Amino acid sequence: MSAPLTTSVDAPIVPRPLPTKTFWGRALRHRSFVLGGVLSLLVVASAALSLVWTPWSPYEIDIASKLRPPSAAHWLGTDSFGRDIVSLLLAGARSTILVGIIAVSIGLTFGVCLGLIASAKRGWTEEIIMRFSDFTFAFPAVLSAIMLAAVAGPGMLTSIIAIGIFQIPTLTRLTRGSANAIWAREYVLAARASGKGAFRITIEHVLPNILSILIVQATIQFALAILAEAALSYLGLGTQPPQPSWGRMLNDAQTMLFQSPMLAVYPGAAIAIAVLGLNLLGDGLRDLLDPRLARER
Amino acid sequence: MADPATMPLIEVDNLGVRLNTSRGPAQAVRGVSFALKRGETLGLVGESGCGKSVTALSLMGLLPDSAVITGSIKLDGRELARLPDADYCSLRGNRISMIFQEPMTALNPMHTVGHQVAEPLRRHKKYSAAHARREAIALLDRVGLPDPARRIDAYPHQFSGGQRQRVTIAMALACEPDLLIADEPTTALDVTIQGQILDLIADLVEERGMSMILISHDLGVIAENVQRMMVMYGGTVVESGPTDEVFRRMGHPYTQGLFRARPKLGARKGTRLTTISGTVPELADLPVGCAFGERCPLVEDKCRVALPPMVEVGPAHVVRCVRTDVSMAANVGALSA
Amino acid sequence: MTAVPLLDVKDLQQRYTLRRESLFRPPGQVRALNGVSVQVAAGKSLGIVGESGSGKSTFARVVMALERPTAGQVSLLGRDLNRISPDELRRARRDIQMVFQDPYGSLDPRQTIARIVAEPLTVLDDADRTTFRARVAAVLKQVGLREADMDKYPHEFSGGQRQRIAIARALITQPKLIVADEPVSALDVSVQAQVLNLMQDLQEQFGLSYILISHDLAVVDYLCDEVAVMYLGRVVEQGRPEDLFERCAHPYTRALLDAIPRARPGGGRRRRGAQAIASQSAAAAGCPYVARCLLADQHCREVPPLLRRVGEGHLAACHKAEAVMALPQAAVEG
Repeated sequence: MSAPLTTSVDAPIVPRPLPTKTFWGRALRHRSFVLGGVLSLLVVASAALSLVWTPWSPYEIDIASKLRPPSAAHWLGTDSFGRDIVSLLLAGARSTILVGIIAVSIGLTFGVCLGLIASAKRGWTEEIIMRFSDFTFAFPAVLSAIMLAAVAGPGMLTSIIAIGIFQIPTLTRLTRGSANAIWAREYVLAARASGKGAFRITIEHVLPNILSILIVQATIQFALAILAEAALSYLGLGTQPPQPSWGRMLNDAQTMLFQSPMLAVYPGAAIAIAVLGLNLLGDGLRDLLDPRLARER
Repeated sequence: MADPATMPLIEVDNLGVRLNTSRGPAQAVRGVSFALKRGETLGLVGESGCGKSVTALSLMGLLPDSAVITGSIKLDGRELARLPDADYCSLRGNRISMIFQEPMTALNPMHTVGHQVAEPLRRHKKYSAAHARREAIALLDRVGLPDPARRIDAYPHQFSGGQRQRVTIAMALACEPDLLIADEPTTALDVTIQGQILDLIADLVEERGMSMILISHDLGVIAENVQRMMVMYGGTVVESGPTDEVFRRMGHPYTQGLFRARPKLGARKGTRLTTISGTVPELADLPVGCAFGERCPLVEDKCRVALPPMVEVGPAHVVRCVRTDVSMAANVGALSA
Repeated sequence: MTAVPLLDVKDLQQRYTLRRESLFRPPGQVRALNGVSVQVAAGKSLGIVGESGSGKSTFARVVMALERPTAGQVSLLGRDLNRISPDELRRARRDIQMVFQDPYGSLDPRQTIARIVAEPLTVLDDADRTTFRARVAAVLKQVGLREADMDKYPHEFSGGQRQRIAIARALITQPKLIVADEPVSALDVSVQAQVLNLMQDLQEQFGLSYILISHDLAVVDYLCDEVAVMYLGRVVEQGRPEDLFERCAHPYTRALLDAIPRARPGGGRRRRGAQAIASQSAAAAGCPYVARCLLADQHCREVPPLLRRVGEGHLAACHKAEAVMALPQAAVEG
């Protein structure tokens, strides 16, 4: 027989206080969530500010003072029509956010409904919805916008609708995929066993459980919408003059690229900040809403 | 150097593991010590969160980077605790192998089983592809996979659960390890398949003179398959000794409770199971004294003050309890049954 | 007196069509249930035992009317669950509830315990919402939880407590039958005993019936009045636990009994014969167990055995049942 199995023990551990587990407690320590939140808030604040105050009027054309370098009066200078860049950026944030919110709302409303229906009904309904969504997905936003503009004429509304439609298939797929995973859970089986129908199960069990995924995706889609809006405005299919927009500013700057390259850098940087901010926010939300990390409510 | 026949193959001394869990830091393993010679088998038994799997993973060097290991783990006299991962890689699958509970997740679905069995041979033994393939066929044949020469190019999903576990056993055995760790190898399998797999493992251990650590929550599996056993609770070993000895006279109230709580065939409707009150404690907030104190029918004030010492109650049979005089008098075990 | 049985299952069959692998060959079929007939009397419990692929979980889903069977009928108190209208079915569900295996997956993580437990009530037309909380509180007390637990979420409970919550949800409509699919197999041994005792107490208190589906013979033995052993979608042996486990008449039951590891000293290992694994899709001519059976002969390979009487209330589907019963029986743990 071998030596007896002996054991000894080191000093008992003193339980440390558990880290704060509230959502905001964890959120404020999450680096990319905080950075993303600050950048996104900056954009929203600019848009809000432009409603009540801008240093100059963003519509006022003053050819005499065109292409001024940064000064005390014009902090970032003026563009080729003599409009104040800061004012244009602030007012541009407004149309960016407006287009983003409405387009993402369109995408979410239709995409989530279609995805939930596909997942609840299965069979032919799912097949038709998903093939339709593949079909829509095959058209880039720019192409649908061009087609829409050809019919309805270019403008902010056209670009909102085009971007919104472009958002639908992505969200339909995401919703269907996540909802299917929930439908396979035992608690849904339990709900069916107690006699609940597909509609009530969708509202009471499926939707609440995929909500965090949808929120995260919505921030990413918002960023994509901003990019799409800028692209459409740049092509002249989106926001029409004199309504300022970051995409239009890029378009105007294009012709001046060699005389004053900074004109393109400002709106470019604004777009980059908004997109980066929303993406970081989405990443942060994904971590924070993960139930495995949020054991304590 | 001492004679290899009497020197322990693996020697664990005062092993402690501290993990970072979602509920804060937890002392998952405290003061575990044991020694195992070549050809010996040891069983670890306990419920979820008792530290048995963490103990196994620390032997394999597979704990997360954030884990803090104290104490020592010696393989043939060589210290393994806190060994750099690169050095561990040459031991894993070569001198120490592990079989896991869920064969489907232990196998890579994208590779053929032949490739996966041959891989450790190519890496550790530097076999040629053809040589490793021949060896893999022989191994798959040995673990009882039907028609191995043809099935070697099949993918894991094309096998049943029991057959997949046979494949992971072949993988674990490829380099003829000295120590085999089997972590709940049959929990995911049906009862009739469980018997076959345990028979196979026992045969191979005997045939190759390996040592084995078998981890299970099932007292029956432990009773039938290992020479010595350790019962773990709350990260500590609460009872250990030769299997027959422990089953003849259980010393720790927890071992006794576990034994009594099992529904036994022949216990007809109307009889009641003896339960252990309460639930398994979270490792992150263990009590200061005996980990079992809150659920123990024999608990006294002194149990709650400090962790009880190990008490020898029979030949090589030790119990971590200050109340063995009372618990042993109850005579729980096969003699009373 | 021959009253209507609580549950009457007649010749239940369930076939699943596999995904078509070739355009030119008919898609494969899995026969999950192959003519299962059982009855459960009020207040009595039936255990269903079998390994994976035996069809025992399919049986549970069909009995719960979560799936429509290919053929056969399930009658609860004389009502055929597959013939009645959806409204009637919804009302009938008051009498038949289910407890699932996974205590982590069967409770919606985003709902409070009060909402989870009250769920079966919300589909009943006559349920008065103002009484829900009082009823939840009462039923939580019955399963050994506190009223204060009502507003917590599932993640705040351990596995055993979650299974108590799942049992509370099944109890709240005061059902006559609870179908429990492996209710304790995901729990630790020490907690398993608590849940099994609770299930037994509730049965005595409310005169419930259980259909207990389990791979663990000891669990079924502890809780049931009658046991059916399933193999490849068929009942191969059925009877009272004492008959089944002390005088088993089917070689498969025998193999299951032999395979249980015994917790006792000096047990050592008992050798078991190698066994082939049969397939669900192959519809062979003879006995489905023939490939694994040590007693099989030519007759077994050609003629499928029917379920027949081998003793008082004891049925077995084996040509050689008498020979199996004459074998020295596996020792039973005391």
